[in-house]
Amino acid sequence: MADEKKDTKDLAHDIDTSRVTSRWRDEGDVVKDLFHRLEWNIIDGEFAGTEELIDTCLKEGIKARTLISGPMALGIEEVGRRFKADEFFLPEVMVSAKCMHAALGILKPLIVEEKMDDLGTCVIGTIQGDIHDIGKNIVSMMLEAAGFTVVDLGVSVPPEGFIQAIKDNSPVIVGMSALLTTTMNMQGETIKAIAAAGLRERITILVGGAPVTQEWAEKIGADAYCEDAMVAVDKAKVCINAQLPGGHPALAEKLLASG
Amino acid sequence: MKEMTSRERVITTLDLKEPDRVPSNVWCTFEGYQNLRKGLGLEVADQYPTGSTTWTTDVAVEEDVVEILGADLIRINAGPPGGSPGFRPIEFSDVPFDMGIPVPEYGLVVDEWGVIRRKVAHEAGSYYEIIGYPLLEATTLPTAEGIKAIEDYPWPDPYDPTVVEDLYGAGVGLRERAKWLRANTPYAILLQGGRGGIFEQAKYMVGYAKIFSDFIEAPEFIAALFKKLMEIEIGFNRVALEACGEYVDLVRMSPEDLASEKSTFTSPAMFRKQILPFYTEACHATKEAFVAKNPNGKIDFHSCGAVSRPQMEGLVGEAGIQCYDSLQPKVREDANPAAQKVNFGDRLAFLGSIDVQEVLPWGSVDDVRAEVKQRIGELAPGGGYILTSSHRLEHDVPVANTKAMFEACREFGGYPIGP
Repeated sequence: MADEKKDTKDLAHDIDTSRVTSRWRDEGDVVKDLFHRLEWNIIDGEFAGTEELIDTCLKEGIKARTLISGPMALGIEEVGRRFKADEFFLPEVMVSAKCMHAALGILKPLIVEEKMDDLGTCVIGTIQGDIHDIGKNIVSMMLEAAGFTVVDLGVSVPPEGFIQAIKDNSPVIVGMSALLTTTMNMQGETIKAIAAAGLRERITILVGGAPVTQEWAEKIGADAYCEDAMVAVDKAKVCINAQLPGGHPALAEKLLASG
Repeated sequence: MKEMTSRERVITTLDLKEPDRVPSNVWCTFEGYQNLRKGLGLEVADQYPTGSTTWTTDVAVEEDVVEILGADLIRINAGPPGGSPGFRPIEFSDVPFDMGIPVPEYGLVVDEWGVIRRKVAHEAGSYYEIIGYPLLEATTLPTAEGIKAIEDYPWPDPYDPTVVEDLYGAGVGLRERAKWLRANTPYAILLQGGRGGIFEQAKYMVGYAKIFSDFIEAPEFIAALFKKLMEIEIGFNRVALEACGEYVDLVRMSPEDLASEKSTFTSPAMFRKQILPFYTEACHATKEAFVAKNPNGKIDFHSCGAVSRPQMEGLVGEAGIQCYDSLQPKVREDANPAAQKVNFGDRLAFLGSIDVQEVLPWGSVDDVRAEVKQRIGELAPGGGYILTSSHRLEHDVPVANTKAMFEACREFGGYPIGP
């Protein structure tokens, strides 16, 4: 474990000389600089610096939700872009994800206090029999960053677990993750159980995970297939804007168009 | 060309020359093997010697199956230190570290590395899932303490006599088995001495969720752990080769996984700096021990996934591997079988490649034949290709498809083979 804080002098120089951005141009210089550094700290997975920056931002009166949906969300989006482009690999992604997760941990309690309108609740979990969650955790985190309230049910969640969470939380979105070809059937079974409980039309269902495909999503009656966390956030927002009931064909059209 | 023996065929292939026809190998899980034996009309037992407990099951395929399918290699493995079985039951309360699991689990097993697994059943069979990572906590300690935890850990001992004396718990020694195979069968012999690997075993000691960020956040711990695992890998290989190296044609290093289907796990620079040097030392030491017994012995290296050109360049150019398995075909295009042959076929032999993700379990016999024909066309010209499934045959592969794969290898594998 790194005993010393990473040297932030190099990082600051790097930011000043190479990572110029036109984002935040409407903000004053102080806030602009803070947002800029926060975004790049997420990309570098630099948590010690991030903690300090969050502190300073909060003291400047900036809202927690602004930080999450602004510089932090853009930072983690850039991480996703770099991963797709073979510039970042798993080590860099995991370090950024940890930083983001820790930062969210600081800011989440403050959001509850702020009582701003949020985009709605997402219930998310890995389906029964499957204990894989690294991808799901990143999706959870990015949905939170985007402004959703996320109820993460964890792993190996039986259909009854999803159903109860829908009843308890009235979510707009339900996300199901599966990593194995041998367990992905439970995505279909869970959707059937939700329909049997009369809850299908209240929610839009997103599915994802390594073996999941567009064809599979259509076959099991999910609303959308999300190949990665960024697509999940985009499609979740489409669902909210569409304001169509779950399982509606027009909704499927909109989601396919956006994917 | 006069028909070669299986052994001649494999040796010629590994020497990157064209034999009479493409050789082949049989590779199964335990349930896959039972299924195959049943489908071939052979008696099926409840237990089979498994080559290595660390990767679920890896059956030591027997001579009768190799003969019926017309394959050319047979595999032997070193045994678990302390004797078989490799997986032993352990009670939740007896696990010597905190697994971070709040509710007790049942049906747990522990292996020679101290890794804890539980059995997961599904329609196609079962597998063991890791739930307890013995060195996960150590990566969160200050560097010096973490490294001490590595030093103090009760590692498996490659020099334990049972490693070579008690193969498969049947009281058969490694040397005895190899000698018998050489005298009584025509097959080339593939030896795997290692029982864990380096990066691979490190993933099981620390866990996937943590190890990737450790490359950046705890590099000294990773280096110390890889060094220790490399020493153990070299130990197993030396011991096994000392016992039977003169009978062996190909040594397989403990399988490593360097990539997903879409991208490598680390950047090229990180691979070069933090992973490759350990493979280089392990492969060189293993090769040295091998050629002392068989001057023409070759080293085989496994990785699933889209092994990139920089990675392969390091493995071939620095670590000196001479054969690569299992050449998963459903990977990104620049790492697929055709690409690997184009980029490395003049220096590297290949073992594997027949798609086990879709074609073998779900394709028709004609699909299997087409797959074999395609891969032979891509990989066999000039020699250097041993055909087998791109991973272990599982329970759900129809025996008709397995038979078709080996028959098609005969049908399409006669040299000369054009590109």
